[in-house]
Amino acid sequence: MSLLVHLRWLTIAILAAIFVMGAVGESCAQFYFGKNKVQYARFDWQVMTTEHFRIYFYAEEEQLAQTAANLAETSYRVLAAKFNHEVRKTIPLIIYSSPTYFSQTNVLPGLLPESVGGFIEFMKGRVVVPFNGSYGDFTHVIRHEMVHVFMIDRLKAALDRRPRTRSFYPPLWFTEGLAEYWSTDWRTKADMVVKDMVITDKLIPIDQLYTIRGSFYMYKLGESICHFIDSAYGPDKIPRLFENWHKGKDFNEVVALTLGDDLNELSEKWEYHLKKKYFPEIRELGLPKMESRRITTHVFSEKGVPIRWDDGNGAKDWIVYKAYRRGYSGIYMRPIDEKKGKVHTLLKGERSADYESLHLLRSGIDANDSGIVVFSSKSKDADVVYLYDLNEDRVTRRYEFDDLIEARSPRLSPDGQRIVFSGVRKNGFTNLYVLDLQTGTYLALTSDVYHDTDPVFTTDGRRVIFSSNRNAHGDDGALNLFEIGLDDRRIEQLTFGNYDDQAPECADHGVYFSSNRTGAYNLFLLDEAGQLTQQSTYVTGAFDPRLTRDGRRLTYTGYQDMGYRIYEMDIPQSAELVEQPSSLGHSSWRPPQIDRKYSRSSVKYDTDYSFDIAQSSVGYDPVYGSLGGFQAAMSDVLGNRAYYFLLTNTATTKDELLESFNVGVTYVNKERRLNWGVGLYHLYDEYFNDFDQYYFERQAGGIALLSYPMSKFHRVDLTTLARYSKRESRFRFNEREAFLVTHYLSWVFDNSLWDISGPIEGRRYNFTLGVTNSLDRGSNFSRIALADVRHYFRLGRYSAVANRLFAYTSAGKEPQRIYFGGSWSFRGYDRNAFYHRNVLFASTELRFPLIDVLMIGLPFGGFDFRRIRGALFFDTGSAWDDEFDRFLGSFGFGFRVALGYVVLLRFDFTRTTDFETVSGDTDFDFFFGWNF
Amino acid sequence: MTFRLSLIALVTLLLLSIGCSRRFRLSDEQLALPSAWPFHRGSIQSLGSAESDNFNGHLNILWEKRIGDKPAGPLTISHGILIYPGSRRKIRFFDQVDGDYLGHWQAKRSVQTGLTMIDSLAYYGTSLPYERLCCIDLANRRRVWRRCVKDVAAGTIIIDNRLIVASSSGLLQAFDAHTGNLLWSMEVEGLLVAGPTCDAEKVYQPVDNGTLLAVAVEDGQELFRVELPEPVAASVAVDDMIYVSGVRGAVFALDSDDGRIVWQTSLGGDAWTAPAVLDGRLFVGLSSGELVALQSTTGEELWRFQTVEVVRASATAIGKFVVVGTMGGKLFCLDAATGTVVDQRQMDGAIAVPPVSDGRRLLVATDEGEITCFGDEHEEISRLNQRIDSGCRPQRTGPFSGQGVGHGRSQGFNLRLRPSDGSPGAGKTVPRLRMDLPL
Repeated sequence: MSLLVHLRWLTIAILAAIFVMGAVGESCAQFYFGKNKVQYARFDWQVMTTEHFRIYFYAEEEQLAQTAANLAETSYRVLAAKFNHEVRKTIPLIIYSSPTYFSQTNVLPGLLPESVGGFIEFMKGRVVVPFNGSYGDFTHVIRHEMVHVFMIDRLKAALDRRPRTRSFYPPLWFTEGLAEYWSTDWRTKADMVVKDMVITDKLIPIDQLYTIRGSFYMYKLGESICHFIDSAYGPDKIPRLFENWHKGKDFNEVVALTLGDDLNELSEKWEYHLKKKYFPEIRELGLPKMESRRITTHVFSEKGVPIRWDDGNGAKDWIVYKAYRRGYSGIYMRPIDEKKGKVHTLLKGERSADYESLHLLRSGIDANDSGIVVFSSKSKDADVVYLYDLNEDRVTRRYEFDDLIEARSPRLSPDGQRIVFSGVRKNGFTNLYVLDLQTGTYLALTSDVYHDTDPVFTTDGRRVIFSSNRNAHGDDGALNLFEIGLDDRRIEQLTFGNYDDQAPECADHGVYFSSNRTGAYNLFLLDEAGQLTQQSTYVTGAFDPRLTRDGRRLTYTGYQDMGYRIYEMDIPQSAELVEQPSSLGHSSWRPPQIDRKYSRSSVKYDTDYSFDIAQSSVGYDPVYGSLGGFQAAMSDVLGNRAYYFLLTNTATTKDELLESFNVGVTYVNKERRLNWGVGLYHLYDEYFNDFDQYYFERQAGGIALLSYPMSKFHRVDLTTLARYSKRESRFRFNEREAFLVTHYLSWVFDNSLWDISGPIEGRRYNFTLGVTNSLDRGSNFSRIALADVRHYFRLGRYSAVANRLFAYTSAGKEPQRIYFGGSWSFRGYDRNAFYHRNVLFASTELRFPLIDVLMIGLPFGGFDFRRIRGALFFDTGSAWDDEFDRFLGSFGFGFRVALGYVVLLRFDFTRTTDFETVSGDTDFDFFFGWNF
Repeated sequence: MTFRLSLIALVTLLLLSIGCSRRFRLSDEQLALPSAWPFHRGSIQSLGSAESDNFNGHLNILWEKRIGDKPAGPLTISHGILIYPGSRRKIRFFDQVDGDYLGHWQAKRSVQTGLTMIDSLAYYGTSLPYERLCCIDLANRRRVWRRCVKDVAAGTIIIDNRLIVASSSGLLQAFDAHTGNLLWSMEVEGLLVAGPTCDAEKVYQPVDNGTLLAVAVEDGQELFRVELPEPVAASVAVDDMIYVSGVRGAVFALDSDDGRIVWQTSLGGDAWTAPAVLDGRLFVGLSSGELVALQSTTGEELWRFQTVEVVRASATAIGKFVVVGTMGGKLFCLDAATGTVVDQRQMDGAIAVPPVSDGRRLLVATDEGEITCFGDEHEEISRLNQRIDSGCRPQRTGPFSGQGVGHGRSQGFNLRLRPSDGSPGAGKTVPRLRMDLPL
């Protein structure tokens, strides 16, 4: 809405809001919507200093911080040798004991997707890493981010040596690929992803890698390329790339200079190398799609559980599974044996506070023939276990845990009375728990530093089999199967070796599980006699084995065609015997901790501010002359507290200089769930609106902001402004002087899902009330009420119908009128065509994909536009002061062109109507921004 | 008052700008002095060492300069002058004895090769995009010749008036040192990322694919080539042997007649440095922070010293000592025979280019643009006093001359220098020379 233009009191609110809400909410572009980052937990932050790091941690994770310090220093030495470089500044490393707490970090203002495993913030070089229970992953993530630290510093040093050379940054595939390559060994899952792309002819050449920007595929393909450079061109080449950075105009030139081949030649050789490497494997091994029967078709559907259940049409076999569909994860079910059987949606996650995240990749689900489905979901501050009754088609029970942050992969006992799951405490350690469904009480089966996951009851219900790193290779991230007795708590190791044994499934005759012990992930059976046999021989990967109700088949999650789908295979009559390595002593390792002599004792975190941004600007306006301004923001290391400064001068003559300073300072605190801010300001400028014409206004006062998020999706905002306001006019018209106090109270809801062009599914609400009183006159100065309701109905993957209803009214002695009209609000009418105190407006828009890639070739090169979307729209509304006149309308079509990932170019062709006639001319308008 | 202050500021700025733009010219007196370290690794054999009985291993600071310009290439010492190729395209010249700033030469691009000198002629290669091999006469500040040579690898060698140059594009070339005429050229399959090494008859050129190439100095004919199992970092030719350090940490000793591998050993870490060779010992620095000493005849490991920080600059051997700097700014002087620490310093900035020495002094540059000269302060004082008493040449003072010893000599003052109270050894306060001005 263009309502926020040249309003007297709202000017300050906007100023503060742009500064403050941008930091508080997710999207500063549409600050009066946005999802919330909720600080559910309070942390007592400490700081530990080592030779190269300043480690920030909270008291409960001190043991973990010691381990992180050790891993970080070890990684530092490894990477210093690889980069042939030392980072001479202390590196800030912020540790969170779980992904749930990590998601609360304020180091980055936006919401972090669950798939983010850690990040480096470039402005201050802060490294932020969560512990997910696995020390192998922890080492990997810390080292991955450290590669970025070294890379940035190394490039800076190389360019500083030749300061006049043109600087450029490496492509994302290289930065992330190298970070992967130098932080971990070539893992089975990386091999699976690349192998699948090669075998299914979906390999992406290097010059097209930008099209899979930031995805897991880019990381793994980048890693594969770095691996190839190292092996084919020599181990000196990657370090030499940095040494030669100043020698090329772009990355391609540097590569050509260092390797002797440019990126195209490198790409050809790399692709050829991969084909030679992987194609022979298909001779011996098979693809899931060809060797099994595919049950689900969604690209990401997994954790399938076969059950036999009567839906009212007779008992039949179903598969209950998790899937990622159209931007959300959810729980679904469909008949196993019906090829075109209908998919039933049981639950859609990520749209409400109860099901904030279903942990698609990190947590399994379970179900039984009684129609009970058990799953866990993040609900506000911690995970909750839910029981979904298929017979009642709803969630019937909910279990919360006082001292657990996360609860993953719940499994029902054979009698359906208990659940076993792996839970995470505040200290970050993952242990096993058994929950009694009748009483809701739960107790810990294990309690130590090891990572115990994927528990399952044995068929007699007396023992639990689980996957754990409490083995001889656990510090490398290896997982083996273990068994624990529910009565005696005695733990016995079942499988051995430096492998990744996961997702056990108990049967009468043994334990099925998935493992990479013969190369790719495949399914294995450990029978009662202790013999290990390989049940599947897939070239890509097979996970999450589940026995069907007849006991003759296995369902599993197979990887192929760049996605996970659920397949069904027959259990082979004879299977190849696999030899197990000798049973080396388990639990023989402990997480390494830094030697005290290399670290200074921890001290309480003291707020340490530094600048985030400081910028000045100078401009010239033909009417108002030269203009200048300065903006700055500074925040602490954790991003919890921030100051925002504004300094401009609007003087047009020398005499006005001193009285024309516009000064503002705002302090914002986001440390607690209740975000708050206070600020002081002085503003003086000339304003214009259609009602008051030109006038000068001086405003000086304070602002207080409170924002309380009830959940990720809804919050209450309260803004209070107290100020002295004096308005002067050139023509002595409507002049006044007053002490005003304004309160705005808003309730905001936003669970929208965004496509590249704007919201495509979900809802957004903003209801705001505001009142302004004059202190000196005791009068009610103005009142406003605003409702902005937006619904987005998804029609397809990229298509939706978007509806908007906007209502605004203001009354009082000096009502706040708003501008209305133009491309952003009422299309077809001039920008700011209406200026009134009452507005009623509705809009509906059909959004659909139009052109996927538009390539334009020119003699000197070409460029392309991607994901061009089309729109058909109809708007209707009216604006008035005292008496309603009539509704006007407009309709038309348009298309939206994404410019990178930042802005959208909107082109609209509109005709207007008064519902009696239609305008003869088609109005053309274009606009940079987003869809509403 | 304001006017006076403005005037003073203006004059100061003027003087500074004049000083900053001071141009170096080689005097006859300087020309008569010997060249102690005229090539990037000291000699045409790239030994990285200086024979000396005058260096006592203690890192006493004789003078230091902060010029705020990172070194773009290796330092050299010629005609009593320390030559510092800065990253801001200026080649700066300092008196190696007292650190006086003598002037500069402005290059078109940063001088990645360092400066190589013979008589008054100086040679250097510039970095992209202005890739040139230049010869200048520093006596009259004239450019003698220049050639377009793509990306000259660090260090050029002059032997028998032939300037041997390797460029990363794979060309090994010899130019007439006086005329710049191309004498011979050889195209090599692979990239030449390290400079050439010579003995009396042969040029040895490492190639990035692990090849070591031997060609005749005379006509560039290939004499033999050796395929080594890893990319080569650098080579040294001495005593009928060629010592080659590999990037993966292997060291090879080859017979210089036929390239036969005499011995080889693995040091257990990446080596991006050139070996320093002196008195039958090889010293190789590793990225893992270790400095390893080997017996040059057998390859036997003599000792190993852990600096705990990345070693990127090649070690320098001086007499009975070996000096190694780290990317963390630590400078160690070790006993070459035992590897024990004789002295150590924490410098301000990474040591990315090898230290150089004239046998008496050790000169170290850091990435913070600081040059430090270490040596025996007592001996240095007596030498300086002798030099002053003998009526040494007058010198203009430049903007960098105020920090070191000896400034003011140009006025003919009868300076007497005495040592500070600081005693040599690790962990001491920085001993500086002070001047008594009997005015």
